[in-house]
Amino acid sequence: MKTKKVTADMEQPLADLLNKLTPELQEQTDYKMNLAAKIYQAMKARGWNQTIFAEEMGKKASVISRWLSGTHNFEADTLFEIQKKLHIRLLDVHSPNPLFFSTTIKAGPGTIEKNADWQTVVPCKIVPLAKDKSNKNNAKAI
Amino acid sequence: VQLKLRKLDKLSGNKASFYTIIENEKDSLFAAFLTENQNNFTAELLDILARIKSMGEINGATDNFFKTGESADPADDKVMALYDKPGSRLRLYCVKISDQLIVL
Repeated sequence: MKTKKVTADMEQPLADLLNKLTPELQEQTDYKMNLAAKIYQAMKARGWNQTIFAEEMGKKASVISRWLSGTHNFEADTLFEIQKKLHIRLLDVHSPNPLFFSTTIKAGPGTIEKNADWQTVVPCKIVPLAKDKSNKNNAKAI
Repeated sequence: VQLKLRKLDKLSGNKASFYTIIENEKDSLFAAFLTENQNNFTAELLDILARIKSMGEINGATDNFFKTGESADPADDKVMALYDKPGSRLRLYCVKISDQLIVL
């Protein structure tokens, strides 16, 4: 019993702090760590260490260390230069229109038509009209 | 002195496992680090924990996330510190056994 209590006490500071760690902060951190990992893996795939990468980029080794640490806030110009040097894509600006929203469409039978002019598939959820029970099997996602 | 290793399940994941050292059934070194700083440096600790969780669950503990060569013995390349941001007042040292196993 004593061991269990000691163990619980040891975990409490960590548990308290993790309760304050918001999903948003974790997601932002994951994104920066993933970005750094992608650059690091591309650097290694070319057979470079950080010293060579620094020479190739015309930067000090300490700058490269910071880039790869997962803590750095990159400028777009820097990411562009890294992309060119490592032949990887970090900024995807060539995709079709990004999806900024999702929506719910309420519809009855025959009221939804696929618009031929749509260039982007909008994520949607189709909900049958509440009063018309006969249409619940007719509504399908387009 | 009785030393034990204890796995930190809340920080470990499929990519890496983190352990801490317990001395004579007292607080772990990592718990002491958190307790000592949780009131004055909460934001920095949360950033450190988020990065550890990211390594544990997504990226693994690859060398680029650490400052290497932190041991007093130049021949010892296992002692590292989690990379600290400019202006940071905390530094978390660790023994990195591999990309999958780290002692905090």
